[in-house]
Amino acid sequence: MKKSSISYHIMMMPAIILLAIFAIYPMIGSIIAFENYNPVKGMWHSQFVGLENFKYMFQIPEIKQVLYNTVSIAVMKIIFTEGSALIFALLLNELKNRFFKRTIQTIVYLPHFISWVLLGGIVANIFSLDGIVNHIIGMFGVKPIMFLGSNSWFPGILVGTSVWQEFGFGAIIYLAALTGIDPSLYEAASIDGASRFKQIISITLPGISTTIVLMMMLNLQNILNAGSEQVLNLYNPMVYKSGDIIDTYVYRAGLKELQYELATAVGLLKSVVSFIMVVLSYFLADKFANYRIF
Amino acid sequence: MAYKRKRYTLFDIIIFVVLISITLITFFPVVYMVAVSFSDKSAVAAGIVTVFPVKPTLAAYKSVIKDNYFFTSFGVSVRRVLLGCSINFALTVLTAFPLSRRDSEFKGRNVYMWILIFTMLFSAGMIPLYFTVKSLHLLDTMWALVLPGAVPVFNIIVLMNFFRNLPKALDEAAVIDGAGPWYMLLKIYLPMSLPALATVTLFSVVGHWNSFFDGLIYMKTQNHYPLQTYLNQTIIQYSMVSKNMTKEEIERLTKLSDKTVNSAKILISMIPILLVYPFLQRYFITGITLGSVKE
Amino acid sequence: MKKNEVKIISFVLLFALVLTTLSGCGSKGSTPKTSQGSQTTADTKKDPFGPLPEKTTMTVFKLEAEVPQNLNSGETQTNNLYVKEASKRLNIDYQFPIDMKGGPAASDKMNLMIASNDILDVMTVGYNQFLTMQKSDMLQDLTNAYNDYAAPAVKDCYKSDNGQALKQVTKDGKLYGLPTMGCLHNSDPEIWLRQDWLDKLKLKAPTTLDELMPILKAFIENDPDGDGKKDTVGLAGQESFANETAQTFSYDAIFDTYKSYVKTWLKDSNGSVVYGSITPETKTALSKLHDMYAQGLLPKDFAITKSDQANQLVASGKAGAFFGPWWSGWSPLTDSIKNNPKADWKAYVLKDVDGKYNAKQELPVSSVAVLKKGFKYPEALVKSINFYYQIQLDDPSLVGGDPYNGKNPMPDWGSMPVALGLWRADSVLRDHQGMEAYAAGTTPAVTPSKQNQKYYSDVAANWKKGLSYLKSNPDSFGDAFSRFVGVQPIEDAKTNPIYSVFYGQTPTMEKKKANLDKIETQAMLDIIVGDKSVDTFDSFVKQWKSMGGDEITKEVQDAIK
Repeated sequence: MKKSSISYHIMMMPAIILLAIFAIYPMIGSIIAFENYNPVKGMWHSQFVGLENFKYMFQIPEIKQVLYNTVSIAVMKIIFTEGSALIFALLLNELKNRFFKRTIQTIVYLPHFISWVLLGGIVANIFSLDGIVNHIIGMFGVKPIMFLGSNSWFPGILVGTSVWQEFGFGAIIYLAALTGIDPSLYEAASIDGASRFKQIISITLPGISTTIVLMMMLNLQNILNAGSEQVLNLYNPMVYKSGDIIDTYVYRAGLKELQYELATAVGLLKSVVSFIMVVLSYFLADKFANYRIF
Repeated sequence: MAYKRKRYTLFDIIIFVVLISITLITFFPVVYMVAVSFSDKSAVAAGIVTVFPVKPTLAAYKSVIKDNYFFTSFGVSVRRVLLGCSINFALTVLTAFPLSRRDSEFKGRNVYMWILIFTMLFSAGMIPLYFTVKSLHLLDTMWALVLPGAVPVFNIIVLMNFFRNLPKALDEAAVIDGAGPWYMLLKIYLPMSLPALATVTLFSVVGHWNSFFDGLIYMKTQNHYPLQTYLNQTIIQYSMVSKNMTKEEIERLTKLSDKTVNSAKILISMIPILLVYPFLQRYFITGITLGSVKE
Repeated sequence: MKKNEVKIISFVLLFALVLTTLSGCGSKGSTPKTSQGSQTTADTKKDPFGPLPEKTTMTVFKLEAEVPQNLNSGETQTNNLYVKEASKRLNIDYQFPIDMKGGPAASDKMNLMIASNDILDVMTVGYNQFLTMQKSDMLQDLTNAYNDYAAPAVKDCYKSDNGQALKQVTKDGKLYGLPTMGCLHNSDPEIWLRQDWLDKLKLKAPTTLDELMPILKAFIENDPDGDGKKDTVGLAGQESFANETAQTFSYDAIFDTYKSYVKTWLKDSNGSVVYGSITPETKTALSKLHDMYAQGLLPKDFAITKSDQANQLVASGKAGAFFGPWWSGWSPLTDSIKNNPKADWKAYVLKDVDGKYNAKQELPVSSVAVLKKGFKYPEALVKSINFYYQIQLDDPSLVGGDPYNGKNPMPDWGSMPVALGLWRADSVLRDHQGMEAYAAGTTPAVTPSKQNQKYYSDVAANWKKGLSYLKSNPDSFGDAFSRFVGVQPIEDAKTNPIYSVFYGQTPTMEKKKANLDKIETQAMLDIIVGDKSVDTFDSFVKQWKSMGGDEITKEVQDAIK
């Protein structure tokens, strides 16, 4: 046992060393978040101001709304994107024709690569007053809706278009995990007379349950990242109320240009929250499901 | 004897139809972008381009490819992917394996795990990282693009999870045969994990290929830029600007009316990924043969 | 088990600690050599065009070109005759360590360099970046260098806006940069209308906002594009409908006709500072916009329309009315005439009740050329600018002539060693009048520089070839059309230029302005798009004042004393 333990330590070494240099060591720079940063004085000699920068953030009058938007949009995105990716992976797994399987798989992950600068224009056109969507609902006698100007619809559009962009890419992990299920289980089940649907429920899902839980948890780290590039390209003043998130506020306030320490403080705060979420979910899973996610 | 179903059932048909519809919806913007990239820019501005190019022209592509830096940056990105992904692959495998061991086998495994999680969640930002790279004299070298992201914690966790799900019987058999950790990793675990390996490789390739910001801050000369950094610069289609126009006005004009160049840029970057993915797809086959594990 | 964990953690931390000590805890920003201005030589001959006492290296942040710059083949922005000649004359060894083109990437790179105190000797930065650098004491004081060494023509140029631009880069009486100047009339919003629609529907050209109303209504109702469908809109608009300076498709012009100068700091009749967006005039303007919206004269979705979508309306022939600057010929009109050769655009100005044409002017400064603190010869930057200015806009013989003399077209300002787009604030009218003179065969009132002579005669020649020529050669359309059709109404109307009394940032602005802007926009939209009555404006004003507006107003008041 001891001998193999040393081998394991050796295997970990390269990664740990690189992380120490490029991830842990630079974290000293977080001190900027606690200073009145002056580039000329540098991070060691700039004036120390304690929690001032953090206090500023909480003094932003609409901070509660902005935070709420950020979290609710992020959570909805996580749930729906992972859910759609999972369902899509399950559906694709059932497809028998090899050619279609591979072609479809390749096509659906392409939107992941299209930047929101372009997608924004496409989405705006589709949901515009005389766009496709309004044409379709017009056929049912519904009056045109200004989707991108409505605080009730906007979050939904953010989530929906984000799902559409990411489900293909997100499905890849599930597809890989699906290959790990023993085929003989399916054969046994079909001999027992289980329907395809039942097989999915009782064999497939449990077979990749660890992956599902893992993905949920890994996505939790993005709970405060509701997707700034997308929001910046889609939002407008009419939907600030429901669409303004932490990153877009920071952008409008020009923090990155003018006050680097504030941007750093925001980043630090986000990391702390992510960390808490991850730790919480780990311990909950441990206590209640007796399962250590990692 | 397994019962082989030869006919397609209603279930199959429904699934097929659903999948095809989803695919078409996802495919439409790509088709649109292709059409835009080959269209006349004023036609695009008027919004009359949908599925087919209007007044077809290669102008957008010509402006993107027009100087040699396009090709050098392409080469830089290819080299970066080859080097960076190899490093990523080695580190992912080397790190995921020990972490997939139980705490009883590998004391300290939990500590390492939490260290990795910590580095995945916390980052001090661009400036401190820049200083670090600078003090190591790595500025303007390929290493600056490849080392800071050398340890892909997300991928490691994914692979680790996959390893953990492999049958315990494998371990037991190997131990009985007297196999050490290296043998287990290289001769047993790796061959069994092709789908997961293909997955993390894909993520690594995409990550390196699409990355532009590090190229921007660490590299100093145009012929060291990776492709996306090069493309990220403003590229105007033709000299339509007046003598006495400020840079800001020029940029405003470009943004106002030229989607063709943007589309061309995105499509050009997509092509290599389109080639890599099908290549990796063949590893997504139902993999585990339990023939090696007999009770 | 516990022991091992401790061992591992301590190892990792120790490793990191070792790295820290090895790299030294010293500040990454070295303290710059302090040297105040150029009191070096007792030499009384302060030649604006002469060499430095010794050959000096100067690193310059310069971008490569996005558009062809008319250089000789094989030359680039950083390696051409201008750079070589200036280097020889001024005894400066220009170096260009940065190798990139423009775009947001360049700005990011600059931000990084500023934040890590890794700046070059000369950088051309944006105004916000200038403020940060000046506040952090990174910049060289240029007061003496400018006073002693700036060419007379350059000094004259900086006077052309009454010293506004220089004022913005002067702190505590010291000059910290050489700025570009905001151009007078560059943002004056005109109402661009499809003349062919006006003619078809037999409508009269408007001179006031009220006269515009029936035109908009007719454009919507009476099928001006003759396709039998009611598919045309009224006044095209975009989400940024009220700004510090008018943008294409914004509605600032409407506010201007009510003397409501939103987002601008003004002095009221008592001499106190007041923010334009909370004045009673603004309330009136909002009421009018509300009416216009209710009557359907503004597109229902203007507030969610991005400028490229608004552009689409014009380019596709769905919109025949929009507010745009004199240079709209380039964009959106080039797209329009390419898709609709029959489109005939004309520009008009709207006057207020007193018959005046009010227009907010663009910011007095857009970019600033700055010099790193401690540079041995501050006059090097000034002389580089002199060199550029003489060749492009004044008498090249003072610097030994233009190395590209005779080349047509000649390379322009981007190819200079220090690329600063500096020209007179009154260039718009001057260029227009010069070109008109060339087209008419008379002599211009102000003699143009050699470069401008070529430029004027080229554009004038294109204009004389007529509209149909221009429409079939869209690359030449923008310049000629803008210079002749775009500027004319502005020249005739004699703009009443509106300036802000303050252009900088105060401490409370940095903290609270973003939010005040947010509630301002939302309050305005609530009124225009009809959800709330115009009387809610008063509660908005109260809210604005209490949420930091009063504090900021006071700070601005103090700042301009």
